[in-house]
Amino acid sequence: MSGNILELEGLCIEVGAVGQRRQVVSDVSFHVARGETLGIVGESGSGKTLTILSLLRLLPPGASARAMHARFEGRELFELAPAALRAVRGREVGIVFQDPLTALNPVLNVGRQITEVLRRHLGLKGGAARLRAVELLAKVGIPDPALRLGQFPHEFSGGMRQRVTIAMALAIEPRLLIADEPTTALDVTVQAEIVSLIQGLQREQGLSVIWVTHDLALLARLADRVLVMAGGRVVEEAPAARLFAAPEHAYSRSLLANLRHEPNLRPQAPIPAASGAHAPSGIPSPAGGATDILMQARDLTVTFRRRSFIPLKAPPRPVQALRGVNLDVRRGETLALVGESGSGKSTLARALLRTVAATAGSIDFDGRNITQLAGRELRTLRRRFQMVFQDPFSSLNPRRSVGAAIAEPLVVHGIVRGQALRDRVRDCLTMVGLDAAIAARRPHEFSGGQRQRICIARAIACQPDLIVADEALSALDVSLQAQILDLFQDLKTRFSLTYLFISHDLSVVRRIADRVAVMYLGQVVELAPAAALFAAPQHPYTEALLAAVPVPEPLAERARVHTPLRGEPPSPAAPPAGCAFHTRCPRALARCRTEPPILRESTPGRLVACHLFV
Amino acid sequence: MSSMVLTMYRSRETRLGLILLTVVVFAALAAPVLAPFDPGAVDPNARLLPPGSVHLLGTDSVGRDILSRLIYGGRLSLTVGLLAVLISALFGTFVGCMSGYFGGWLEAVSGWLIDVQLSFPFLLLAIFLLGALGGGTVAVVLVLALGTWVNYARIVRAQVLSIKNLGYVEAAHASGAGVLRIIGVHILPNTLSPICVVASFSMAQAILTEAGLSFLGVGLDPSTPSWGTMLNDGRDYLLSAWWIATMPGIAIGLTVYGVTQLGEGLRELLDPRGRR
Repeated sequence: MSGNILELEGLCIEVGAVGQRRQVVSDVSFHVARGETLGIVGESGSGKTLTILSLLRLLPPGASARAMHARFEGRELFELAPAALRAVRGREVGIVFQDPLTALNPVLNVGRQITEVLRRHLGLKGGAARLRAVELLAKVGIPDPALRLGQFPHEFSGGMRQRVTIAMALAIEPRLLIADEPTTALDVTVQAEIVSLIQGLQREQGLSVIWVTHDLALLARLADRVLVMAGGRVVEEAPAARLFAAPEHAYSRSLLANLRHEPNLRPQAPIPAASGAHAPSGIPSPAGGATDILMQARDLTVTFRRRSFIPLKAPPRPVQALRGVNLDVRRGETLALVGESGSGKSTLARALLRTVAATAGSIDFDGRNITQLAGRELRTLRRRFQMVFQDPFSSLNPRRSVGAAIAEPLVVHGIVRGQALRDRVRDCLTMVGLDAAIAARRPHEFSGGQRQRICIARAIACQPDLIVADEALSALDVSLQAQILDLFQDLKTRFSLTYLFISHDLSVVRRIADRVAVMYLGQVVELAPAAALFAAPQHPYTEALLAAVPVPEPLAERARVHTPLRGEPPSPAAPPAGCAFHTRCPRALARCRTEPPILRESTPGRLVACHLFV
Repeated sequence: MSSMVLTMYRSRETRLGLILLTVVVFAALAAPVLAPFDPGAVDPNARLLPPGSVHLLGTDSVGRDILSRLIYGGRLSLTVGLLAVLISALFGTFVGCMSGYFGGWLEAVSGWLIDVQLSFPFLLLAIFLLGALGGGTVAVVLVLALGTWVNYARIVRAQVLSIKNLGYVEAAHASGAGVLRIIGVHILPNTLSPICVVASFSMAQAILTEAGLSFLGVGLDPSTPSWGTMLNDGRDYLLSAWWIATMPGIAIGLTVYGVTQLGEGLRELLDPRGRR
């Protein structure tokens, strides 16, 4: 018997109706050695997920696979009888999917779902199964495992749910673990924890792992060997060290180049006067003074009340989405908002644009208090700020043509009409790099990247001052991200736009932002020029966030000490007293527990809310 | 437009439904020309004749020609069904849209109304109301509309709730569009396909209910031919003269099938992603 747990040779997958079958995976071959981690990387549509699904014969209806060999532990997977196949699926190969919410049954408690696996595949019953389930949850790092067994999936956060699915995959003591983008839906700090978890388990149990991802940087830390897929083919297979050091295929090189962007290549917007000595030379601000403030929030607070669905029962505690945010957006800058999900980034942007009502505090736009504006005045103001959203599929009305979507703000404000309107729409399409002739077509004919360009065209149509991009790149593949980023930069200089750029992806932020505001539990904890922030984070939370981002250099990445943040972000319904971060902070002092820190200048041009910097 | 009809024509079921409906509607419109006899003409010498060469579908207990009555009856049955569907669709969509978009007390009140309506046996309510209103075409239309508006209200409300959180609605809101524009341009058109599906099934339901009410004798005026009153006429002769009740039954069945298929076709047609 060979040292390989899995050997695949000549895998081809076809999809489509009879008569129009297309080959989407062609001639894919690879092997996985015992105890090895194979990383499969590729963009959407590269066939990476179909490839691993075909191994367990889990392909969607209409897709069919054949291969010269697909041997798992010497058995041909494609020839197994149904019962034997189920045994392989259930007992020897564990699988973890991307979306931890849909992978768990919402109406069964977690304990029941784990013991079910134990009972079916290992024959454990009653108390023994329960005991084992508690062990498993403890092993994947879930606090109070005995208590949490009785809880339902919705009572777990995304990261905790993914831990549960991993526990379920491990319950059967598999020899091969297949992880299909297991951390893509998670925050970067949670991702770091899950990666550490799986690596630890792998060492302990001698697991083999196939890790499928679109994020090459992640594999720098994880993978022994990397398989690069594009267009349904393997374009390169190499040990991780060699792939990152000397990629052979042009596609791998371009993937790496996208990861290792040069942050210094782009022009820097002016850094505030206060930090004059630190400011790198840059293009002058189009609007003149460096302290020209376009939008300003003072003590901005947003609280979402929740209704009780049970009569006479006290309603749940209100969610404090924003807790007294002070923020200046300078004219002509790109200000990035970063933070974990639930930190209030999107709420802040929406409150600033007045689409979410502020509970307290004030908002100034261009020197005018807009907190109480309503009706026609507010609607008129709206032409001056526009939004680009994360999901390019839901942000365009499927019933309206591309042209009508772009024309909408112009029509609403009655800026132009008739031929002039049509001309403006064509101009906007050309400016975002699309063919002006597509105006008559409908959104569903376009890919995600094209749709995002259409959304950007809509945003610039009425020449706003401020564009809020809410995770505008998160749904796109890496190579597309780079293109859209360039487009954002290009439009910014052409129209002297100001961007409020919300992202959880710090590598994107690094490329585009002039200043970065780090948010935690509804507050800005650090605000600094991007270069300074990435070079030397001050707030311990910023530090932890940056440390969690994988670096695309295997040696450097493996040499780094990974100390993931402890625990989960506290609930925004009950933020901790004192500094909200003290529950997870590695450097918390006694006063952090009682006294909330104030956001103030630590070094010139940098603001931080932390008792360590006063 | 022609390409839209062509798209619908491509599905075999939709095509069949379309043909059936066209025949029924055409027959109803051209009733005076098509009907071989006066639908009200009583002929004591031709009572209870089975289908034959003179009376193609036979005659009823007072010697009226069933084919002619079917053709004329279609006029009333179709009109009643269509009107009921229109009224209930407009009302139900309005209520659903308002409660879904604005929420608050509007939603509470309409939700309560819907619950009351759904928990009360409709036939009982219909018989009571028709008894009180004294029957007649207008009353029947209103009662039928009352029976189906909740279907629209519920489905439209659910649709509006999910659509109003989509990016394009937020984008429109953020770029300054008013409520009317957001509802009229962005929300309502995207609820059209479920409305069409519900409408087609409701139309079928309305025709059936009208038949049922007339059969029970609380519906339309028995002297005007409708498919329901004809069913009622044949009730006593089911064993001796089966054709009296069977023929309107078949007409109802075919029409309902046609409407349902048309609804399916419309749903596919109105889905912008499905069009090729």
